[in-house]
Order: sequence, then C-alpha cells, then structure tokens
Amino acid sequence: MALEPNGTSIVRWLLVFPQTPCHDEVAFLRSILLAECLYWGTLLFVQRALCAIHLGERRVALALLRAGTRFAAPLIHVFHVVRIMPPAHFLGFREATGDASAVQSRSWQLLDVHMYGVLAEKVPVLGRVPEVRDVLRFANPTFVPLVRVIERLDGTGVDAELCTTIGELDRKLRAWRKFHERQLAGRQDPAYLPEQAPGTGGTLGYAYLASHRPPRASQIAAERGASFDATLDGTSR
Amino acid sequence: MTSAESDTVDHLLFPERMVALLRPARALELGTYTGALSVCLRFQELCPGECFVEIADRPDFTFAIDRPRAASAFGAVRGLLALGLDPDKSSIYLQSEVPQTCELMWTLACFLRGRAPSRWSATERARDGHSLGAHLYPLLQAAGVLCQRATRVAAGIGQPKLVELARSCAKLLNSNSELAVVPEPALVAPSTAGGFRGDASWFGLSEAPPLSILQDDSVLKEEIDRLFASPRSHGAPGVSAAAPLVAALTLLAPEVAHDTRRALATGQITLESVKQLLVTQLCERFREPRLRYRELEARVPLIRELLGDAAARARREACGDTILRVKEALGD
Repeated sequence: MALEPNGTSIVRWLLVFPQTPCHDEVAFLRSILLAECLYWGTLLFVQRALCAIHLGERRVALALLRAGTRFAAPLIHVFHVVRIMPPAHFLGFREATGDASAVQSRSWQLLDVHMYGVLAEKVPVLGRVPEVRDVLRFANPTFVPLVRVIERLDGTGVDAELCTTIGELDRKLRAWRKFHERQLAGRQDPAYLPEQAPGTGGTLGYAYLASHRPPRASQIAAERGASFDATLDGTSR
Repeated sequence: MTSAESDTVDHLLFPERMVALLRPARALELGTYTGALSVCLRFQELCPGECFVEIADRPDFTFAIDRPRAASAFGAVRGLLALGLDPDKSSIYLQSEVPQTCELMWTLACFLRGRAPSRWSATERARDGHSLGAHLYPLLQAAGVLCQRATRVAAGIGQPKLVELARSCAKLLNSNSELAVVPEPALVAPSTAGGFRGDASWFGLSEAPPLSILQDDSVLKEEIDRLFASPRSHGAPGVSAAAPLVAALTLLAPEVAHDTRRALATGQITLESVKQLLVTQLCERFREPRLRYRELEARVPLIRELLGDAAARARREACGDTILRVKEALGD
C-alpha cells in the first residue's frame, strides 16, 4: 500500500531526515505524514469492512478489521515524537503554518465518521472547513458507523470476534486521540497551548477537543449485554 | 493470520466503489427498483460519493431500439432521482458521455484475442443478426465497470453474466500485473414467490411492455391488464394466472401477498381483484416518487447540469492507468 510504483517505500522516505537545525520540527512533520498514511490505511479497511458487514460477509469483515487495527496500532507511538518538541518550537510551528489545522485532515475526519458517525458537536466546524465539508454527507440516520454495528451483532461465534475487534480498534484510535487532546492541546503541559487559547481551524482548542463524546464500543457492548463486557472493557486488559 | 484472512488482505485493496449499469427503459421497472436500484440506494448512504450509476444509453442505437434516445435516458434519470438517488451521493451519468469506456472496450477486445470468456463471444444477439456493436456490447458493459475501478457491481438478478465477464477481464489483465480491480457482485437476493424472479426480464420484453412504477394510475392499470391478459402470455404450464401478480405483490407488500395467496387458494378473490390490489399497492408505495417524477419534468436544466457534473467526474475517475497498462501489455 505504501509502495511507490518503483518499489520504494514512502515509509522509508519519511524516516530519512535532511540536514537541518530543526530536527524536532522535521520529525513532527514526518509524524503527521506517517499518521496520514495510517489513517488512510485504517480507513480503507474500516470502509471495506462496513460494506462486507452490510452484505453479510462477516468473516471477511473480521479479517479486514484485524488488518485495519494493525494500521491503527502505531498511531500513538508515532505521535509520541511530539514529546521531543519544546513548547516554544511547537508554538513557532503553529504560528508558521498559519491557518493550517488538524481539522483539515480529511483522512482522519473520514475515519472518525466511519468509526463513530458524525458527532453533533463537530458539525459546525466541519461545515466551515471546505476540505472536510463533504464528510457531512454521512450525517444521516441510515449510515451505521462501525461501533454501532455492535448493536446488530449477537454475542456468539464470528459476531463475538467482530465485537472484540471493533473494541480493539476503538481503543487504539481513542488512545491516540486522547494523547492529542492532552499533549498538544496543553493539558499535560499548558505551555503547549495556554488556557483559553483558540485552536487551529477556528475551533475552541482544548474545549473543542474535550467536547467530543463519541459512542464507545465498550459502552454499546455493555448495553447489549454483560457477555461483551469482559472483552471490550479496556480496563480489564 | 489464517489463510482466509490473508486471502482477504494480501492483495491490493481499493476503496469501495459501486457501479450499476441500467438500461433507460428498465431503470423505472419494479424489478430494477427492488433489485439493482435498492442496492444503490443503500450503498449511497454507506459510501456517499462512491456510487456510480451508468445509464446505458448506447444500446438504443446498438440494438436499433425504436425510441428517442435522449428523451428515454432523460426520463430514466428523472425517475432515478425521484426514486431516491441523491446526486450529492451518487453520480448518474450517460454511458455515451464517457468515451474512455469505449476506449477500454476496444483495448480489451484487442487484448483478449483468443482468451475471450466464452459468454462474450457467443451472444445470442450476434446470432440473431444484430450489428457488430451488439456483439461487442457485453464487453462495453464490462469496460464500464472496470473503467471506474468498481469494487462492487450492483447487478440485478438478470445480470450475473456482466459481473462474471468483468471479473474475467480483470483477472486476465492482472495475469500481467496488478492493474485492474476485480469487482465483486453485490447481487440482490431474489424476493422469490411463486416463481417470480424479481427481475423485469420475467415479464418478457419482447411480448409486453415492462411494468413501470412511475406511470399514472390509469396507464398502470392498462399496463397490468395487458401484461396479465391471459395465462398464456406469461407462462410456464402449471403456473396459475395469478401467480406472477402475487409475486409482484410480494415485492411490494409481503404480508398482503401472503393473504392474497391464501384467498386465491380458497376462491375468495378473483384475478381482477388481484390486479386492482397490485395497482393500489403500486400507487401507494410510489405516490411520492411519482409526484417528484412529475415535478422534475420541468427541471430540465437542473438534470442536464447534474448529468454533466457526474459525467465529468466519471471521465476524471475513468482509469487511464488501466488503459495505458493494457496498451503496454499489447506492446503499443
């Protein structure tokens, strides 16, 4: 997937650093590019899995979701690179990139929607950002995001495995998202983003990120019955 | 990873995209609505923007169908919009507006020499004295699917050959290198009852006009009368005259059909009553689409614009890569 037509790997390219006095900035940019690749990889499998589930091909969906989870797993590790970036460099980077924002990441927004649906609290922002406005096409009652698929599964056989895999994928993505919220939005160290500072993309910054309440796989599974709790509750692992 | 899992993920994966090929005359039939169109309606919600509906307007001159081509295709688009296809989520375009399809068909025809799937080379149409275009038409359909890199084909019950041919072509192309998506069928489970196949072809296009669901009540009634005029007009021996009517009812309202079948068995209901019941069900089910269909009659510029935008997108998405690589494989 990450191979160029001539066989070279985009990942290899991303791991080679140029001569520069701003290694942390280059590393941060590369981590964003790697994250984009991982979002797309995860999204591709989630999208195909949703179609497979829709067509009743649940074994196929399971294989696809397991592959998708392998793409989601490194996200948190890749993003840990931001810890090497001092707050002053981060703020300088923010300043230099002007109106650029993580909100504009179409791959992430699509992945988020395929996983959790269009969150009501995100609608105003998505509607304002032209790069991701079309994501709102998923805001309809007939689109069933992946975590909501759990409501339609029974707790046995391949359905139970699907349920577990959806839960794992959910945890991987939320772990990355929580890190983003805590680290870059300044909760871990307010020097990264001072209290009340506006976020990029016209958002409220931390308040915007913290307001998101996606439906969690573990909660939905718990509502379906106790049999799913043990496998889906991240704290039990 | 199990072998089944590796089969699923160890080849190039492309984002989901569905293509449906609809002939203008069939786009508004009950069988199409419950078949390919119902798949499209669901898919456009699942993957908005990735549902491509190609109105196959070329057959009208390929097979010398006696109907004003543009008007027929235009009516089909109106009907599809009225029946729920959303132009923000589905691209509806005319086959004749995407010349890349013809180019791929021609290239495939050259590439496949001696390796043509048997179902392509022996079409009944060719034997019946149709044009060379008619002979090539199945390949044009397959090219329409491959050209858009479709992962799924919304095939009605009458179109399994199309999926089979598109898959055969893709696999042959991929024997050189991975250059074409091998589409999967998204077949609609037949809503069978009483032998009805859920497909418009059951009605026998050569014998009677198809049952169109957006007609006025009176026209619909006449059409049903004509279609089900006598047991001989539709059927295999042993199939009662009412069976196909009940089968059509099953597609619309299974519970009503069940009750009707029982009433017929006990002689509590006549054939005429079943016809009237079918008209009533059709009118009720498609009341709103029929209103929209009429409203859209006056929106010619809008429909023209939608068709133009969708064709532009289909041309953009048409995979020049595939055509180029096939040409390379041919040594061009």
